[in-house]
Amino acid sequence: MNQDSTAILNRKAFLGQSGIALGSLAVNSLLKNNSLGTTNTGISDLPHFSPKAKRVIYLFQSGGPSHIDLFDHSTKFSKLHGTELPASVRGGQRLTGMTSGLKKLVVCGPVSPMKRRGKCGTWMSNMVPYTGNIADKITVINSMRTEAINHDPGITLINTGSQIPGRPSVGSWANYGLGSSNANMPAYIVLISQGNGKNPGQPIFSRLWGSGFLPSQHQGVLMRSGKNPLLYLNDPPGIDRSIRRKMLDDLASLNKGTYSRFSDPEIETRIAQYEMAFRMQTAAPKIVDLSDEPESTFKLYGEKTRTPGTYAYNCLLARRLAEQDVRFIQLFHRGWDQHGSLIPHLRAQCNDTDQPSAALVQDLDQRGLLDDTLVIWGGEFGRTAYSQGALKNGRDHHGRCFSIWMAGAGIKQGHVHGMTDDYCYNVLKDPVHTNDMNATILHSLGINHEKFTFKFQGLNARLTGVEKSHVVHDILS
Amino acid sequence: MMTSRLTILLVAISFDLSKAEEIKFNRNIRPILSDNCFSCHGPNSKDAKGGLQLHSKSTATAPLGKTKNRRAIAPGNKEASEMWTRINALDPEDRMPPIKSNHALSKNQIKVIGQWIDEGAKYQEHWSFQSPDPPVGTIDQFIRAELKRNGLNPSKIANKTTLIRRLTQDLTGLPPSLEEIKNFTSDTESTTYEKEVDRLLSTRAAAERLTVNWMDGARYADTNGYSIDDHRDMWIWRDWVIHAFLENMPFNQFTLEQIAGDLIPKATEQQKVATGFLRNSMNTHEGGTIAEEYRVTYTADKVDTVSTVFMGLTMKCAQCHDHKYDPITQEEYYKFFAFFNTSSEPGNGSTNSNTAPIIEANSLICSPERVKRDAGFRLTELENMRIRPEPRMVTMRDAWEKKTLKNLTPPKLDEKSKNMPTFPENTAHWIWNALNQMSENVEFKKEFKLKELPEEAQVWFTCDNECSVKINNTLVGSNSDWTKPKKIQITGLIKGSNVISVNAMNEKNSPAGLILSVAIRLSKDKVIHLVTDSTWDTRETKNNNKQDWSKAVEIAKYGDNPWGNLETKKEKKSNNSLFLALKADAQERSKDQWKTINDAFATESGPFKIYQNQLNLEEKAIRKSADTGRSTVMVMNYKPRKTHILIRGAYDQHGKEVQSGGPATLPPLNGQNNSAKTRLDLAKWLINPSHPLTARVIVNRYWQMIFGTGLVKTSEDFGTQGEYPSHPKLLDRLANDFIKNGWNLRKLIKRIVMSETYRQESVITPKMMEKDPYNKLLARAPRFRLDAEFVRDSALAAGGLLNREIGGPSVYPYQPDGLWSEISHYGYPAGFTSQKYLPGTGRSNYRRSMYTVWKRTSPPPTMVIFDAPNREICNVRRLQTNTPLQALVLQNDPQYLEAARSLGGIMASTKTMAKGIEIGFLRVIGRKPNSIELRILISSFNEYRDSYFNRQNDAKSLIQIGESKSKIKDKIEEQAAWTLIASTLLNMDEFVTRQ
Repeated sequence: MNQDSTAILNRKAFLGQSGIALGSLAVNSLLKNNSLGTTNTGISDLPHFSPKAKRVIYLFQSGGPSHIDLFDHSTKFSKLHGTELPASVRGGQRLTGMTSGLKKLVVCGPVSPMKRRGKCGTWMSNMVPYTGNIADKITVINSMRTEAINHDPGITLINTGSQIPGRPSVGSWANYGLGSSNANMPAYIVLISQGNGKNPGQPIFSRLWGSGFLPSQHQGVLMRSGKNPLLYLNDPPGIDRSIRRKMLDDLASLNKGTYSRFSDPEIETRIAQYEMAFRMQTAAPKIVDLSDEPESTFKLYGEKTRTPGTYAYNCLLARRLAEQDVRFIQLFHRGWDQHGSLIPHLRAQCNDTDQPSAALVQDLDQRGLLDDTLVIWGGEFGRTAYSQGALKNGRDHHGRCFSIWMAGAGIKQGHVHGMTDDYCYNVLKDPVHTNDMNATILHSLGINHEKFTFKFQGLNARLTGVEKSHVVHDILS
Repeated sequence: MMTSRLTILLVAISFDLSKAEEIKFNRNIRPILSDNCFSCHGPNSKDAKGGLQLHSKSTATAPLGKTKNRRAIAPGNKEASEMWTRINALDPEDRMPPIKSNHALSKNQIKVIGQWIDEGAKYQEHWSFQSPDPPVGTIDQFIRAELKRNGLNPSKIANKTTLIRRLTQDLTGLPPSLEEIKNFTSDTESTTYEKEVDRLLSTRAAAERLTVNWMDGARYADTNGYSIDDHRDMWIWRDWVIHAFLENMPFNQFTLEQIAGDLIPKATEQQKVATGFLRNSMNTHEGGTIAEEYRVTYTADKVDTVSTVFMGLTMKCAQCHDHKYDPITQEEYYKFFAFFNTSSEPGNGSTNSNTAPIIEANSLICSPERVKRDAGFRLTELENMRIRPEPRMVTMRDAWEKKTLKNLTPPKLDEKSKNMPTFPENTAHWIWNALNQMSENVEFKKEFKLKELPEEAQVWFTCDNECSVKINNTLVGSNSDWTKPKKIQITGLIKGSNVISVNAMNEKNSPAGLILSVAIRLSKDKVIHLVTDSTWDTRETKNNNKQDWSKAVEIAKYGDNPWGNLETKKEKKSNNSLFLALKADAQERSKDQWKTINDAFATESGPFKIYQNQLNLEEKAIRKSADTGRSTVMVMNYKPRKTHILIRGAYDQHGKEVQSGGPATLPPLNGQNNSAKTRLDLAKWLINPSHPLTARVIVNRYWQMIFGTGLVKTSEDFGTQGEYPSHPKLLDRLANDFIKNGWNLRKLIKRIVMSETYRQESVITPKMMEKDPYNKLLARAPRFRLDAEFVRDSALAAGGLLNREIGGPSVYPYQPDGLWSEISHYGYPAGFTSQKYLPGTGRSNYRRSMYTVWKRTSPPPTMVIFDAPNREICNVRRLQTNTPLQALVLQNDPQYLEAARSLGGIMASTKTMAKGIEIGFLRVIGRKPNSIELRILISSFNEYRDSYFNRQNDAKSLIQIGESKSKIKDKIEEQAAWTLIASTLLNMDEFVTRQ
């Protein structure tokens, strides 16, 4: 849809809701040359159909968690431990520069035992016992695939639909399409944590939550631990709430004076944005103030939840943000790049994430939020069946297959999707490309990913790429 | 005056612009077909469904079907046209476009198509691919003809106060000063405006403003972009751009040098620097990268950038398949790609530095002395950060100091001479002979000056494989076991010039390399160091045939493989120096004492070690500039390489080989003497007056810069999917005159801002809202928010803080803590530059925003919040938003609060409160306050003052924000109140708006 007419509709919708009194002149055509509209109510023809998910919590595991050691089980695999990876399995796949020079690719079985969990009997490593406890609530996809073999292109592809930078992130698409359902907080919030495995983990980039060619208001907003949860949120020392209120009232009067001279609707929008900023100053600190959480919360999410900046803390914030109807909440947890120190580092990453991730799903469930919240856990690719360095030392990147899990809003419970070969190396059944996953996320939000486009450089660009992508209906209940 | 003259002219207009419009293919039909039909029936013949292509008359009217009895379009007869039948079909099976395509035609679109077919289905070549052939006319004539046709009138000319502010903001990105406002508004000469335009256009600020505009398209940044995103040095190129605008370099030359400066015969150093434009592509050195894949990516980025910036074309689509909309085939894409594929730029980028090919050069606008000063100042800042790291580390260190001091025993007094500080091994390099690196007999030397006779000196050294060291031609020691560096006391240094020289030898055909470090203690315990690096001279001495001296090459830094960290013969570690340092009062410790403490602390504190390492790397990265006042810059060169079509765009799927060349739709691109066409030929083709796109695209972007929206709104896309120009004839007129005037940019901008269209009021009337809500027809001047950089610059200027120095290395103004390190590879043992933001101090906080260091994976937050792109890829049009986060920046960013505090000080220094507010208004929004505004602010001032009178501590906190010192006066409640009034002004809509 044409972006300008979208803006008109947005403005009208916004004014209808907000009840701001403007002259009939402004209400009739709230437009401004060169502006894309600045209120955030989404596009008028969205959602395309009734959505299952009102919001998304995306627990992104940066670095490439080992699907082999966590979720993808092959009965024959353990017996193959120590043997050479047959050329027929590798099938001429390109390897990264880090292992392409190895003379022999020696298969390394899961470093920790796996067993069936829940009534559904989904295979999981004993390194993720808490995730095992929610096995009956989630769908594990073992047939994810990506073309990328390195972090930068891989993480950019799964988050923006293209390996080449410049595209909007999945969260900013959702924000652009559906707008905000909260008048006090940004619609797309990003939380970052560093794992105890590989430290520092691979770098991440603002483009992963950036808005690409979409208007910048749709980019993810970093929420940070500490006293200033959003950038520039706090009034400076010496300015209290009453002074700030007084200043904003003056400002509104002055700006209204300007409006009376120029009749530019953008001025009214600015007044409204200052009011939202004022409300944000109250709303955001409340979200990070955990003093109202009962002890049982910390028991559920784990002790680390008390430490700001940890993954566990961020998981709890995610739930609190979901309660405030923030549209898209994305966590980035770093440190999953186990080229070496596979066993201790993988264990450390699992210790960081296993309990709080599972707790989040349980917590949403007990609060009745899981029904309309889509939860995704996963990284940019998997890891090789063969060892990098000595046996069990580490694993290189692997894009031909990897595992993620999804839960909540319309996702099947206790389900496993897709199958790989004996070496957990190639997908045998039901491949899911990263763009298929993104198509499915949009579908959950009531968006037809093929119809959801933005005209950029002459193309109707969309999240899910030029090639045909498919919603994974098999995982939807 | 001017108005009446124009009225007469308008009456006399001879060309007919006001007649009702007939249906035109380019204006009315092509957009419909392109949006709805071309993805299946467009120029890409492989995709054409049912063999039908609607993009040209011959294909659209060709017989279709097995019996060839049908035609999609029968010109003059819609009823006989299959297309007409199908777009009106009720049966979903027959209906076009198909429902599942997500396209649909409106009733009006269907009607227009019908009328067009009935009128003969006249096709036109896409407008932007044809040479402009516009009628004569002024900007105002073209604009007013359109207004008239739409029943609108132009607005009256804005008042002088508005004009001077608008003009200064548009041309310089800054607000006018009080003097500028006064001079302009009080001058009654009819030529005042024109004089002001000329004056402003020639200012440095105008050159900077134009450069900001250029930096987005050129994707300028100070880091490499992908993965680790460590630093690069491209500011010499940025300074080249500022200089070019300052000199008003003709735009064709500006284009030529940036695309092919290196290939111009007898290219100057600065012409090579210009090609940094192409090298602004991101690059990577992520472990495991397949180099060729990324080399192709960098090349594709250059194609994308050049085609977007100069031709307004998106060629990207044709990287994988023939373009669906524009007449560019995949083969043509790779012919274009071939121009940029011939350079030695590797796929694997360098770490912590520029990637070859590079040259070292001077800035054209920032003297070597200033570069030395700025880099030297930065080194001092970094040094001070060791002494005063972030508070968290200071706390840790304080605790460690206490604990350590308790465990140390006091030294004996006569041990001073053993207190030589540790050698700066980390900064010494293994150096080699430059001309013959494999030489086994090499002499190294370095001359240096001492301002006084040293009290003591030591040398630490080793050589692969053995060597002897002389000071002023006297042997001081030798070492024949390279695995054990020696550390010896040296004598023979004198006040004035000294020479240290080393004779090094190795086994036959094994290179002789050296690493050495000298520590010299002067009076007052000041210690200076000298280390081996590329400033040393070397010559080969093989067989007594001595070469000429040349500069050494740095092979590796100390600790790198294959040598690793060599064991220095362990001296008995004396803790005396540490004891003395710890014992000293923190305020009075010398730099060396701090070094002793920090080195010791780093061995015990992981976080501090990481931090020290980061500082070391940052220092190393700028030390050379601090010495030479120059910098390297990445440039283009020519290295022959074959180019193949890449099947589906995959780097390793080679199709047929292609030669460099231009798209067939555009005028022929000729080479010289039948040889392969080069980037120089490409550049000349782009600036050839017969090229239909370049001048139009450039002229349009400057129109966009001034009016907020281009005559072609999609300034990045002049292809068939782009928007049709609002005033095609005006665009063409400007483009033709631009070429005729020698691509004179100042002349173009002057012409635009001299127009009455530009000088109109920006007040919106109900009639305008009704008839032209987007102001495409310009019945008024547009009103829009300033670009991110200029919002901040304007606040600094209003507060009297703006540092107007031009060019030079990028700076590090205030930024919230942790933004870089929480996403970067900070802490990785080997270490990379630009992983942690190390804020600058003093006047570097107040430079224009364009000089703020730009890290692509975490760009300056206040720039991005105000819609700046992240500079990863080419961007020629910023979209504007209006958000609560922007409100928070203007209210709470220390940069803005400090500007408010400083402005408050200026306002307070006037005689009356009303006068103070008036000065504030003039500085912030360029006009005097009206009586209502004055009343509001005076009343608030009194309220704030009374409130702070009882809260002196709050007042104190408020007026101490920022680095610039404010004098605390008696009545700090007044200072606080003025700060709030100033902050209120800096949050006004009118402050961030050009109107």
